[in-house]
Amino acid sequence: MSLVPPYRLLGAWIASHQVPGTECLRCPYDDVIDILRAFVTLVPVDEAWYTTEYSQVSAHVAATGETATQHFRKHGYFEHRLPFASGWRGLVPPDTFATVQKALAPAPVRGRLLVRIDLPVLLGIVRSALRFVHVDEAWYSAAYPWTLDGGRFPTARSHYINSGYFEDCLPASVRVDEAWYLARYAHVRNGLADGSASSAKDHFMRIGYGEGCQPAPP
Amino acid sequence: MTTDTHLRRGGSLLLVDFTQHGNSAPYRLEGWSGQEQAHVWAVGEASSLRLPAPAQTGPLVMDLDVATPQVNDWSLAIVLRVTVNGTPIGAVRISGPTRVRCLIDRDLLPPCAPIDIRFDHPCHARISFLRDTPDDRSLGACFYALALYPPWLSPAAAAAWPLAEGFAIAELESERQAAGEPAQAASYAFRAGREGQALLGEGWHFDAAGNAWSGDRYAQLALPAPTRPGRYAVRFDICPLFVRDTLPAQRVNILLDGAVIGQFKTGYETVLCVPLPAELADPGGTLRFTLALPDGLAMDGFGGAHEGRFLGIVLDRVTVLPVPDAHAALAGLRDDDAIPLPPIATSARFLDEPVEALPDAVHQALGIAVPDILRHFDSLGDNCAFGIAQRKAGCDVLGLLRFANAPLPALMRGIEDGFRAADDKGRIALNWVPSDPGEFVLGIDEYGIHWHTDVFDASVDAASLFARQAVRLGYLRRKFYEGLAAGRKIMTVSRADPRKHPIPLPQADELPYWEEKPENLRWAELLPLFLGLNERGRNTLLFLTHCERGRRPGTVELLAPGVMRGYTDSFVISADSNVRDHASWMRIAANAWLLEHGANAGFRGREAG
Repeated sequence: MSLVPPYRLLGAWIASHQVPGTECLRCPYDDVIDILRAFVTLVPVDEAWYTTEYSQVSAHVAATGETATQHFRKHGYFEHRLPFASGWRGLVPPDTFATVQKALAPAPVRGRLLVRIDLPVLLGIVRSALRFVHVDEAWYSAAYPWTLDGGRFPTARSHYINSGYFEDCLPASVRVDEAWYLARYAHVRNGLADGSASSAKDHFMRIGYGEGCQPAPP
Repeated sequence: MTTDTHLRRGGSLLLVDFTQHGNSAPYRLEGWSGQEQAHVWAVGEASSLRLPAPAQTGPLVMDLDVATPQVNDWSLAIVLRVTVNGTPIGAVRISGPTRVRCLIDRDLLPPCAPIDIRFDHPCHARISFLRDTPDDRSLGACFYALALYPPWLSPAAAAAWPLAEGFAIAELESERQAAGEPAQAASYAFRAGREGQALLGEGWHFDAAGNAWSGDRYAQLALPAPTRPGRYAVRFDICPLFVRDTLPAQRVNILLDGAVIGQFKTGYETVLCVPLPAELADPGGTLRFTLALPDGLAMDGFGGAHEGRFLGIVLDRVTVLPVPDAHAALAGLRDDDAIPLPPIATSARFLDEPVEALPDAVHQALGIAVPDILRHFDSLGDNCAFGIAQRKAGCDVLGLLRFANAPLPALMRGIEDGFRAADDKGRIALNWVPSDPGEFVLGIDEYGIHWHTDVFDASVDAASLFARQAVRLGYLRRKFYEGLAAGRKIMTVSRADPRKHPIPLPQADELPYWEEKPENLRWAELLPLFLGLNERGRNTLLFLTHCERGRRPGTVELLAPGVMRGYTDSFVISADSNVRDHASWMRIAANAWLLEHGANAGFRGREAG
């Protein structure tokens, strides 16, 4: 399961690039690409369709051993390719990179390419990517029981996309590699020692995800 | 009878044919590319021919059919300098197919001796820097034919060897000699509203902050040429656009009057200093520069459908620098990314000894201990690696920048200001940097240079620490300039610190930035520094780069009197005295010392002491 970057990190990045008193961000173009790259990992790829639709990709995939999914995430999305045909698994394709580019206004400074983008537009792109996250309705409702209060969000998925992600909720239970996690993060070992977490999984689900910890080796 | 006499002089006309079935191969020495159907390219800085002794004594006419490199559908200009048997006879600028004609004086042609002809083509160009092509040669001039004949044979030669269609005729001009002092440096800033703005031609625009951006793949500027002949270099202060995945570095070609005088590939804010060929600079005339930037990007590729701008580099300043007679040998050195400057000497000793055995091996071979060798060096940065290596080898010397973080642009600001801020408490600041471990750091923000204090206790009295450190910094400044005036030290400079780029969504326990391996330093970036260091005395500059072109760590090359290039495999060095990772620094120091003080090092005319 691809894990979406926590909003705590994204929110901190937004705060550091928001033009004061506006709904506009002024940020490095490279950052936008990095953020898109992180969210593109959520998008499923129809491998057969992708390699048939894009014959050069088929040759590239054959030559490099890369999968179509890897190609789409590394290159294809930024080359304005689609991951699947409309209707595949009942899904609507994500906005293309060209659509995102239209929302960017280059504002170069010495040596760097900065771009301006409206915050609602960026959050719209994020929400569009969140459509591809698998939300475990039962687990989500149990883990975050307040999310269904008042019937504002008819499903857990709806809550997650529109609100839960931005509150650092997780969409489902995550498998945590206990040994790797403890070996990787010294502060978690300390946390277990002082009782602030009962296990690696407990730490990840409550604290670690929001800190940007990874649950298992990449 | 005259006619009979002439008839007896068979063989007076020598024709060297550079076509596929011609006779040029046995005459060609160095500096030639492979045979092509109709010509042979002279490549790199220079090429040479050795021709048979003439049939009789007397002057000779030389006719040379050459052409210049093509970029798409236009011809570059070149400068061709001709030297016969070691004596320069003239130079000419050409821009297209040309018959270059000159008279070789009889004094240059000893009887029965072969004729050595050297062609310098300082405006050689690697076409792959100007457009995308697999041809990676640096092309000097395209040779079709050369004819040598006595003047009385001119009518016959003209009949036998008519000028091909499309060829112009040009005469060699004698070299322009420097007369008296060169003109003062002239500097032009190009921000909006500054004096240089009016000198910008086509292909520029200004951003909101007033920076002058190249707005086309070719951007023009025209500057006043120096009013007096002499040796000059031109310094361009630039800041290229950097886009990590798309444009990490870009090709920057500097052309003067249509001739390439520098070719670089850089993603750094830096200075690029290139020689100004005298043939392209008429005193009191105009220097017409073109910056050819094939990698510049159209902004509409990044968003904003309305955005029609094009971005390549920001041009901050151009300075025409006189090169003093004392450094005449440096005035023509072209060390760029198209073709690195070849060394005039290389020292590659002590490369195989393990670190433990190095001090004894060096002492035995050179009769001087490694710490005493290292005392001859003064580090100018950009980091503390050389200073730490000195300490690990048992040499602790005072140095203004030995334990400083001084990136090259910051160092240049300091040198140009005479480091006066280091003697002025009002311009120095002491700050606590809460890293791991935290440390008090002394800084001069206007330069961008910071010094370690080795004080890691946040609770010390900052005011008294500042007072002590400021006095020490002023003292180090005075020592630095005394050392420069004495001219006893080898100044080292490197670009070791990686460039850091922020990561927008860093994972836990990971650095919030990624590090990019730094570009190797080039001489073109260092000429202004060298001139600054040599204003008060004759000092040697050793610049350090990562190993390349098969050079092993520790090797040092002498590029010109007073300029060395050293090679290392890593700029990272541990301060831990138990970790013996300073071997390549010791090797570099020993080899540089050999080139500076060894038995064959007296060529620079350095005065004893």
